[in-house]
Amino acid sequence: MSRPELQVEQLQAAFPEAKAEAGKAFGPELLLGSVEQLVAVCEQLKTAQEFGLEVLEDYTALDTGEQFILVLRLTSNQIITRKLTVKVSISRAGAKVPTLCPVYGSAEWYEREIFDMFGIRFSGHPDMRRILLPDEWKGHPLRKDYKDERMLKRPGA
Amino acid sequence: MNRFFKEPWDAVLSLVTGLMITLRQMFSKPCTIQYPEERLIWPDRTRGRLVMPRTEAGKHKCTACLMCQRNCPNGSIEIKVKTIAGSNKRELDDYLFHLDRCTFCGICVETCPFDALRMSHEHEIAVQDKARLKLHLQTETIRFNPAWRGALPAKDDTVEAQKPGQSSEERAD
Amino acid sequence: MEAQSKSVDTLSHPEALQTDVITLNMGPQHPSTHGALRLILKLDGERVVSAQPDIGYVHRGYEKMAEAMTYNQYIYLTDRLDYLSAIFNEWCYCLACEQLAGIEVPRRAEYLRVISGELCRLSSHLVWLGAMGMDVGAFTPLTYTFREREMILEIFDLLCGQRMTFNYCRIGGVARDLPAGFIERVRDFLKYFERMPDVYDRLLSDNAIFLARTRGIGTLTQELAHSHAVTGPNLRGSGVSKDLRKDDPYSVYAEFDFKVCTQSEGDALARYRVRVEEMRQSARIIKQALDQLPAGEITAKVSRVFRPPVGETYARVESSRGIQGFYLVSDGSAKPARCRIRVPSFAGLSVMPKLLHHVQVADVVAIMGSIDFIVPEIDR
Ligand code: SF4
Ligand code: SF4
Repeated sequence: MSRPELQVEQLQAAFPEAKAEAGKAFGPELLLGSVEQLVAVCEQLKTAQEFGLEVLEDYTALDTGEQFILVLRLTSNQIITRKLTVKVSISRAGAKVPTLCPVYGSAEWYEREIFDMFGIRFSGHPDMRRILLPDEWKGHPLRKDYKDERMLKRPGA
Repeated sequence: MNRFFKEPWDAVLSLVTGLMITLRQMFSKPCTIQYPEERLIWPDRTRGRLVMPRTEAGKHKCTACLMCQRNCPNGSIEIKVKTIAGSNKRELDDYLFHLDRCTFCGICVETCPFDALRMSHEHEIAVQDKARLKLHLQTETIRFNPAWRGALPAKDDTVEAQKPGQSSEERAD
Repeated sequence: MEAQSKSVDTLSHPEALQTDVITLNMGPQHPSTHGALRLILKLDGERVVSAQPDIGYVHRGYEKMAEAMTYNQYIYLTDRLDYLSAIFNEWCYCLACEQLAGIEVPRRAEYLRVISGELCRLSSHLVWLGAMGMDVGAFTPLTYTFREREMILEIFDLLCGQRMTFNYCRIGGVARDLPAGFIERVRDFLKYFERMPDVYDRLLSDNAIFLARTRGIGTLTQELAHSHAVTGPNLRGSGVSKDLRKDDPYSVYAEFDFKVCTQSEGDALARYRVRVEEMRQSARIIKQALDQLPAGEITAKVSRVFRPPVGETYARVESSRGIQGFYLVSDGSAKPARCRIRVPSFAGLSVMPKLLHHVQVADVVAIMGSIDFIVPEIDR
């Protein structure tokens, strides 16, 4: 009954501009070439019969020091073992990221959180405010260059 | 018409069922205790306040190796070390324990290689003055209590004899 | 006033009343928000026009803190995410670390994790059940469920020395083996607990008031649940049979016989039914785990300073509220380069504005209670 897992070749064939790899963490990995494709790719992953990934389980970012990487975890509630990681690198200096809100409802809060923690702005987002930190907070804590003199110092560290 | 009578009737019936259940509770043993007068007996592994118990000889076992300070996740332990005059042996000078920061995780006890720390069963530790939460453990003369077994390294722990659940036959041969 | 002779039926035409929309701040200190959560309600009379949750009151910077702590030091912190079912946080975090370093966990340790995890699920659902009953006006179940929960907490005190912040899992296993008398104690508890779900059922599920307050209230459709990535009992209450313990069995869950409970209605009552049934199943799993408990080591051999190789991983477990995930990135040092926590309640709360649209004010509390989110986990 359960249809097979997503195959790397199948992904590569469907998205020739992206690079599909066998991932270790969460299904295969799809590395997008540019962030502009993000919405179209997700749309297709969600609606196309052969993918059917209608759940955006997690959406977060990663600061490598030189660039940000957006990491999406897609899964399905129908074919439950099916999972896919989508990654896209963006530049650290104010890249324009299109919002995923029209495709996934959960993206709204996840994107607010990414903005809060990394300062990545999402164009077209209905409510681009901070979500966890107070509105007047300075800086974006999960950037590697964030500094805060109030952080606790451990003795001997 | 049926609905008119049936719904209130069901409601009353469900109320009575609920009341019956509650009534039964009235005759069961109370599950609370009268706190300041009565107290629970704490299991051995309870993690209360950190202490540095004294041995029979009245000495503590700390060698100032700084292992606990390094491993404490939130910097609750600050140790000052002095060198004994005339040799380069190190000795504990001051063991400052910030009880206000401690989260009772027990990592310090678990990692102390010299068994110098214990988590006592002391848990009524609220004070009115925050300054009294800065404790100098080496000055306390608390006697060692073998019942304090919280967060001990696994090898020193009393455990249930391991027996696999269903294999009483296996054990026999 | 009497000059107006024509009367309007204001029940069927509420707009004729020309009431103003008022803004109501519910929380951050409110007994039914289950933590410091603020809900900004816009009300037109008794009807909710819009509801916006405002979160972050207990934000502690968990993901940032991880970057300054070693892998081992971080375990105890994860207890404070979802404090009602703390084992799952630890478990998930340790699972992620084990995946990073490719550590095989001994079977006995896995069993101990399952036993403590399912006990945790029981205690968490018990708290939820009591709180849910109280939210809709039934106080008695709270006193009963907390009595049972107290027994579980005492079992945990016996096992790991704390009632809620266990610090029990370790990378590669668990911290300590079972204490003397533990198995007896759990068996006694299970025996006692066996008939309790039926008692709750008689108290609540047959109660006319409870039914009236929950049936058809806060219906979460499958589309909404998919789109907002709702997981756990809330999703199963909408008729999707998704449970990682069955579908993507981690640890030793494949060795137990249990059912995934689903209800198709998707309303508050369905979510309630799913959770009560889950309690029965959890009790079953614990019983089987105690019967099959293997002997052996409780931790794998892991060096004291844990340095995983460069890489990244994403581990998930089915916690009592849904799918809990840890995304760890290692740069080869003793501290994680990035630690991302995927919490089930975050998604559960993000669906709130849609669920609360156009409901009565009194139902807001019932719906929030039935979703069972927990704020420290959302805020991290
Ligand atoms: S208490 Fe133990 S770990 Fe801490 S400095 Fe003394 S000997 Fe070392
Ligand atoms: S119990 Fe934990 S927080 Fe407290 S001093 Fe020991 S290591 Fe630090």
